[in-house]
Amino acid sequence: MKNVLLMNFFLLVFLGNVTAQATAQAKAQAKAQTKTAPAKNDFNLDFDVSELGYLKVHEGGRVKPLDSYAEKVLLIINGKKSFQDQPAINWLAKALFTPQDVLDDKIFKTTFKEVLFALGIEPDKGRRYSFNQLSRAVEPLFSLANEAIRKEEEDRSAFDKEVIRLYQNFLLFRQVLNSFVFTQPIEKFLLENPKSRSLLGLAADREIFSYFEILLKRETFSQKINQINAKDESSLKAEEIALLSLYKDFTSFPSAFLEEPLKIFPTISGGEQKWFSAWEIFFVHSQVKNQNLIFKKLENLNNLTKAYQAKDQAKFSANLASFNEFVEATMEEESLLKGFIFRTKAEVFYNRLDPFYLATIFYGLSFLTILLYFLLNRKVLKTISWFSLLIAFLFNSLGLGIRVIISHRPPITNLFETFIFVAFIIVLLGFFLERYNKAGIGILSSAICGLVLLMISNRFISDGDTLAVLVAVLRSNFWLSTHVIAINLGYGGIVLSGVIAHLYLFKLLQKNPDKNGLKNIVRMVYASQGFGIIFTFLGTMLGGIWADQSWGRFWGWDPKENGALLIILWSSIVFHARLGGIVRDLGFIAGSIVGIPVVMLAWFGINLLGIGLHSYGFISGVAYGLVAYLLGQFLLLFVLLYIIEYRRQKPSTKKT
Amino acid sequence: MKKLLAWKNFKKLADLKITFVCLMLLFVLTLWGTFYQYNYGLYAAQKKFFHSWFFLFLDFIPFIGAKTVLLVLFVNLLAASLFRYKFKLNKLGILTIHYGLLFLILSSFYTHYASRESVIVFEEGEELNYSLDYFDSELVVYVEKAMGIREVVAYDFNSIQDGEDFYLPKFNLRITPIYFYSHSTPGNFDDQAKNASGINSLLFLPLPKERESTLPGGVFRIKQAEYGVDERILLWEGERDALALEWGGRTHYFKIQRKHYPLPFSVKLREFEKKEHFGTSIAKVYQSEILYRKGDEDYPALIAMNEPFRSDGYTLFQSSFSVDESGNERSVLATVKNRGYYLPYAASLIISLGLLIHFLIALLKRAKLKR
Repeated sequence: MKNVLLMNFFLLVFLGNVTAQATAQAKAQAKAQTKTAPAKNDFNLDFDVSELGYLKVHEGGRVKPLDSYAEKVLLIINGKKSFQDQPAINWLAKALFTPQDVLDDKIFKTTFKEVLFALGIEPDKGRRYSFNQLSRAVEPLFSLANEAIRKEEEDRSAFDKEVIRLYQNFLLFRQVLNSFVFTQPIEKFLLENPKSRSLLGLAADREIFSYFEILLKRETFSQKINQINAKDESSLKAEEIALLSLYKDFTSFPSAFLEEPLKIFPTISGGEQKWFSAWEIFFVHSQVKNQNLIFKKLENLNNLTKAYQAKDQAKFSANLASFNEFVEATMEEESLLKGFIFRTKAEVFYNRLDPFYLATIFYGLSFLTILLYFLLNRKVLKTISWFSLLIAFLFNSLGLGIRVIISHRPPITNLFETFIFVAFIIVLLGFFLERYNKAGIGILSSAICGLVLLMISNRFISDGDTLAVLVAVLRSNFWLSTHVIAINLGYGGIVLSGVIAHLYLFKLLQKNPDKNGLKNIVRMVYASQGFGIIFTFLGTMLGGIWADQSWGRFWGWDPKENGALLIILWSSIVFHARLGGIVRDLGFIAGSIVGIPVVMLAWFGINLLGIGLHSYGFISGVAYGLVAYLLGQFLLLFVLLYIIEYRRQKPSTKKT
Repeated sequence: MKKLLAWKNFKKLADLKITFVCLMLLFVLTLWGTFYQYNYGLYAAQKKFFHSWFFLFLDFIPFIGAKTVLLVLFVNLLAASLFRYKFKLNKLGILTIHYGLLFLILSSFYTHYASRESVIVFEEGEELNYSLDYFDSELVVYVEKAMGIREVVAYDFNSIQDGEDFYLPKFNLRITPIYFYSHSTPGNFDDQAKNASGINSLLFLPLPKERESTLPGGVFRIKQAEYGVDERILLWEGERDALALEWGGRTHYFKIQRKHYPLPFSVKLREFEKKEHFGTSIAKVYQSEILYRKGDEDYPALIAMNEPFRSDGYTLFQSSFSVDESGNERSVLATVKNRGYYLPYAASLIISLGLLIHFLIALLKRAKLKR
C-alpha cells in the first residue's frame, strides 16, 4: 500500500506537469481558435451529452454504462450524484473533454476543519474544495496520507481516515482528468522547428500537438527515426535532433497512464472478456490484432473531444455511435452480449429516473397527508395518502425490478438492497393491513417505514456502485433468493409490528381511546409479529443449510447468525409472555416495540463489530446513528409507558 | 398420593414460565456472547457462553451456560408436549413446530458431540490422508521406518501440565516441561536448549482473537534411560523443521504441530483454480479439482464454494485458500466428520412443515371468517 502511494505521488508530480501543460495549451488554443469555448465552471448546456452515458466501461469487476461510472465518481468525491444541479454525465464530459474547465470546480467534499487547517486551506461554507486548491496543498496532503497509511487500520484516527480518503479522491479525480489527455495538445509534444513538423506531416500553423496527433503519424515517424538513427550523430540537423527527442517522449508517454480507470475497449480471448483503457491500448497497440480498426476507434474518441470543444453535436453523436457499435460488435462476436445492450439501457434509465428518490418523496407525501387525516379527519386526505403510498410503492418496486434485470441476480446482495427491499415488503404488508382494517394505520405505519428506510439506504451508497460484483460465497442465486429474502421478510414483519405498536401507545394517550380500535391494533401487531418470526425462522434455518453447504457447519455462533437468533428469541419471548399471561396487551405492545432495536442490531448493528464469517457485509461509520436511535427509542418507550401508567393510577388516587 | 404429587411436579416442568425464562436467558447469552467476540474472538465466546454448562462472570460469579439453558428448554418442551399440548387440528402447525424444535435441540447436542471439524491444506500435486485440527496442537516424536512410513507418537499439547512430566513408552522417553505457552514467539534470551531452527528461547503471547493462529511452544527436558539421553530441547509450532536427535542408531524427530486426524481415504489436489472478477481483487471463484482415493477405488471430484464433496461420513468444503511468501497457492478444505449432518436438515424440514401448516390454517380461518 505504501509503495502504491509513493508511486502515485511520483506519478502525480509528473502528471501535474502534464495537466498544467494541457491546461495552458488548451487555454491558449481556446483563445486563439474559438469564441464558443465553454466558460469556466459553465456546462455546455446547449450541448447534449446524454448519449455518452450509454458508453460501456468496465469498472469494479463489471461492465456498466459511463452514466453509472460518472455517478459513482461524483458520489465518492462530491457526496452527491450530481454537480451544480447537472447530471453526473455532464460533469464527466466536461472533465474528459475540457479538463481545464473543472480544475476550479468546488467538488471535493470534506467537513474536517482540522484536515483543511493542516493543508492550509480556508474552510468554505459549501464544504467543498477545488482540485486547484488541493493541488496547492498536495505535498502536505501526500505526507499526511502517507503517515496515516503506515498505521494499522485500527489505530487510524478520524483525521487519518479523512486524509487518506481525500488523497485517494484527489488521485481518482486526476485519473479521470487524464483519461482523455491523449486528445489534448500538451507541451511535451512541442515542435518549435517548422521543418520537424513538416517532416512528420503535422499542421504547420501549430507548435503543440496531442499524443494522438503524433500517433497518427507513427509510420512516418518510425521511418524518419530509422533514417536519423542510420546517420552519424555529428551530422544531424536541428529538426532531426528535435524529432529524436520527441520520439523518446512519445514512446515512453503511455506507460505513465496505465493506471487510468476508463476501460472502454473490450477484447475477447478464449471466451473471456478483458477491457482496456485507451492508454493501455497505446501501450500494447503493436500486439493488438485488427490494428486499423482499433486506430479508427481511437480516432472516434479523439473526435469526441474535438466535437465537444467545437460544440458539433452531429459529429459528437456520429463518433459516439461508431464507437458503441464497435463495442457491441466485439461483445456479440463471442455471444457475450446476451441482453447486454438492454441491461445497459436499463441501467441508464434507472440512473436517470432515480426511482428510490421519487419513492422517498411520495412516501413522505403519503406520511404527511395521513398525519393530516388523523388531525383533520378529512377522508380525501386519506385517499391522497393511499395513492401517494401506491405511487411510492410502484417506484420502489420498479427500482427493485430494474436492479434485478441489470444485475441478473436476486434483489438482495448488499446492505443498501436490504433497506429498499424491506421498505417494499413493509409497504406491501401495510396495504394488506389497510385492506382489513381501514383506519389508516396500515398506511401511516408503512409510509413512515418506507420513508425512513429509503432515507437510511442513502447512507449506504456513498461508496458508489450499489450493483457491485459479489464475493465467491455469495455467488449462489438459490441461497440469495431463499435465505436472504426470507430473513429480510422477517425484518420487515418485526419492524412493522413495532411501528404499529407505537400507534397503540399514542392512541392510549388519548382521553377516551376506542377499545375496539386498540384491539384492532393489537391484532395487527400480532399478525405482523407472526409474519416476522415465521420468516426470520425460515430464513435462519435456510441460512444454517447454506452455512453447512459452504463452511461445513449448520450453526457456528457467528455474529450475524446470532443476530437472526436474537430476533427469533425476542419474538418468541414476546409471544410466549403474552400466551402465558406473564404480560397483557400493553406488555405485548412494549415487547413488540423493543423488537425494532433487536432487528436493527441484527440487521446492521452487528456488522459494526467487524468480526465473523459474514465479513462481506461489514460497514462502518453508522455506529453513532445507531446508538442515538437506540437511546431515543428506549427513552420514548419509557416516557410513553410512564405517562400511560401515571394516567392509569391518577383516577384511582382521586377515588381514594 | 405421593406418586400423584410427583406426577404433578413433573407436569410443572411444562410451565410456560420456564419457557419464558429459558428464552430470556438464551437471549441474554446470545447477545452477551456476540459482543464478547469483539474483544475475545469467536472461539473464546463459543467456549465460554455457548459450549458451556456454567461459566464464571468476572471470574467469580457463576452464570448459566447455553448448554444448560438448552437442556432445560428441551425438558420443558418435552414435558409440554406430553402434558400441555392437546391435539387439535387447528393447532397442528404449532405442535409440529414445537416437535421440530425438540428434534432440533436433540440433533444439535448430537452433532455437537459427534462431529469434528478439521482442515486440509495442500498444494497442487500433494496427496494427503489426514486433516489438521483448527485450534489444538500435539507434541510428536517420530522415527522414519521406511520411505514414507513413520513410527509416530503424539501427545496432546493441552494435556501437558506445569511441572508434571509424561512418559512415551514406545520410545522409552520421559519428557519434563520446563516452560510452555499456548501462544508464543521466539525470544533473544539464550535458554541453552537444542532447537531445529536456531531459536534461543520463547516469549509468552496472549491468546489472539483468531485462535486458529496460535503458535504454542515450550522448552522440555527429555530423558531416555537406555541410551543415557538427557537433553534440553525447544519446540515451537512456527518452525518448519522437526528437531532431530540421534540415539540407538536411529534419528528421532521432535515437533509441535496441529493435531493430525487420519482419514479413511486420501485426497490429491490436481488443480486449484482461483479466479477474480476482472480488474478487481474480489474473488469470483475458487475451486479444487481433487482425486479421491480409497483402496483400489479412485475418482476425480470438484470442490467449489457452495459445492462440497461428501464421502465416508466426511464432508470436504472449499473454505479458503492461502498464498505463501514464495507465491505458492494452497487450497484450504474444511473437513467435517459428522455422520449426523442431515439431522438439522430434518429438523428444519419438520419446522418448515409446521410453519406451512400453521400458515395454511390461518388462511383457512381468515377465509371462514370472511364468509
